Amino acid sequence: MKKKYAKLKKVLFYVFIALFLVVMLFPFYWQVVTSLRYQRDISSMTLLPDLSDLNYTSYVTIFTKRPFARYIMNSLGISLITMVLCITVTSLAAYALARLRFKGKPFILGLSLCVSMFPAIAVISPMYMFISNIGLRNTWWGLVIPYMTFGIPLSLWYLTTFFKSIPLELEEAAKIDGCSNIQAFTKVVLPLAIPGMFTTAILIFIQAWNEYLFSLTINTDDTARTIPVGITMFRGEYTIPWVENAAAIVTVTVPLAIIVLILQKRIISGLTSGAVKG
Amino acid sequence: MRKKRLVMNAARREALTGYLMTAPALILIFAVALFPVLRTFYLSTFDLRLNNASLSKTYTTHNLDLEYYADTFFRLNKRLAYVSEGEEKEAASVAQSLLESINQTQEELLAREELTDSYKVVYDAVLSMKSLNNDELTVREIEQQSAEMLKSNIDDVIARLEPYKDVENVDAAIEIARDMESSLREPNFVGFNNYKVLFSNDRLGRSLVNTFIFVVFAVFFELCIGILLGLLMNKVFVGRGIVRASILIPWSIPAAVSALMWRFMYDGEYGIISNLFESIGLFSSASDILTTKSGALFGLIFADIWKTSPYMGLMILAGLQTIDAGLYEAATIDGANKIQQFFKVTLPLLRPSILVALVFRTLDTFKVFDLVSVMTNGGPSNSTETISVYAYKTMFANMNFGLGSAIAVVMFVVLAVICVIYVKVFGADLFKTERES
Repeated sequence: MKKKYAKLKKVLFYVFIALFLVVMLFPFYWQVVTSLRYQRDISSMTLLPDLSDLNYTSYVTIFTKRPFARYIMNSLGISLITMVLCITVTSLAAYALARLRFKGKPFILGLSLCVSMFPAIAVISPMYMFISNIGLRNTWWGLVIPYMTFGIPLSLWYLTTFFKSIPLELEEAAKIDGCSNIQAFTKVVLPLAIPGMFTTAILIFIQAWNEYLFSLTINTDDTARTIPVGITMFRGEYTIPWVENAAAIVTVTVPLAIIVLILQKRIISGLTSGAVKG
Repeated sequence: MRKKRLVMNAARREALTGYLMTAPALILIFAVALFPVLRTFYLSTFDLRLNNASLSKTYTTHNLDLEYYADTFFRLNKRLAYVSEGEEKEAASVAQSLLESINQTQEELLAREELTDSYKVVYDAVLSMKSLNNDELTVREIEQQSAEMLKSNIDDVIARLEPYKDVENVDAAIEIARDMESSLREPNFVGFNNYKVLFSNDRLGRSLVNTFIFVVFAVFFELCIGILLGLLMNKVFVGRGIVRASILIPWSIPAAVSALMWRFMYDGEYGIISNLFESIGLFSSASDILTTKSGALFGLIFADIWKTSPYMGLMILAGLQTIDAGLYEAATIDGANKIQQFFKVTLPLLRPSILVALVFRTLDTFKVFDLVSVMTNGGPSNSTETISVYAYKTMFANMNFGLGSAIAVVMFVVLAVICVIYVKVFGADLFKTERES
């Protein structure tokens, strides 16, 4: 009797899991289905597209009729530059914060945590005027600069946590063997810290990739737009071109999803390191 | 004694290295984050409108745009000269005297402000139709008296030309004279006037209420679902990897993109979710989700929960994994059932993780912009306008940067207050985790 009960519980458990997965993944599935329909069939509620007559053309038109390739280039360029700059500038600082003894460390860490919580709206008016005045609107740098607002404090915070998790003994051994602080950093800590730096880099990259407000306001030329803004600006003659929207969403989500799935362990460890270690 | 000094020197050197290594990051944080926030506060005390040439910058003193002035002066001169040579004798004589008066005013103005040389450069450029695009050269500070003198001269020109409006060229001259007035840049410092404007209508209050409703519902449900997900993922079962992976995808896509996906599914005509909700009786009509206030708020909250509760689940899971399994064994031996274990063991030990997640999510949700901007753009009729959207519209739709900055400052202050409340109420728990690491 009890065994039967346990079995029922197990079944219920898996039903729940399945239900959860459906809720999580259905919106994506629906985008895939929509992207393969014709615009005239857009109101169809069948869960499968007409398999005998799939419409792949929107995957072509987003590249031929819309500057979608350009959006991808812009997003990639801006996110990569932001990522590299943030990691380079903050890795030294994070090492110092994790290892060296000096006054004001809690203050610096607290400050960077606070700053990473700043709303973009609170900095946008001076940032927009500054970028306009130096003539960087509609360029990559015009977005890299504001993206550092959240990138630098975030990466400082994450990297410090990662550096702290590297055992101190290794470094001390290196110093006893005659390494200076800098040598201990480059020869011992850096190689060990690469996974952590990599994780931080991904997190910064994703943040920059997903950013919307600065991109919407600063890069208003169609050729300078990034993906999140570009997709939402697709316009048809009379209606929103939902099929093309869906094709664009699928096109950018699939690579991102693959990257995230491959690196999921790292990303999760990165995301939660702040939470657990405070 | 000597040894002690050596130790001290080493310590000092270490501290110095520390400061040197952190300096670049700190300078950047100051330059790209702290300074702009202070600057936002500064800008909020000005009447700053980017669509109006004479208000597009902050002026604390009287200024004259030489380029604009030279251009309008040249054109006014020409028109007045035409009139003075015209048939209408009366108008001609007025124009003649005005010509003298504006030239005399200019002479006085430039001499008093020692601007004669710069004016020549600018005037030549204007004559050869070149645009200088150099505010350093063209916008110059002047005395208040000079500004008043120029202004009264212009007013005089307009007043004396007014009676001859029907004469050829006079109307155009009046237009130019009015234009000339905008070459004067008066101080646009308005103190706390923007805040007064802000608090005198209820749009700010309504947007704050909308934001709070959104935050409270979204964060509450995200937390509940997050705890449930965390508990689930902490179990060993077939397909755990898939669940964990599927969770990360909504988190990783841009909020703007997820907003677009949901807007499509909420659409009154072809939205699958809105039609589903209609058929199960959650809404009386499929179009209600995006066209009624409560429907739109529900839609936004629902989409946010979908995107973020998995992330909450990961945070909670990380907290769960730090709990010693022995505690559950001990609880079982003491005869506690699963539910008792959850309330007596799991929840108390999870408290720090929950609090950290709660604080982060509250602050993050409060800033919500992408989702609302793409899905409803604050509509229908501002009923889902959050504070970020209000600030954005004020700045970029109305180009009123002064008022927009004031909204941003209010938002910043509210966020700071929320932070302080959290720290005051849960402070001990929030910082406990930090000490452990």
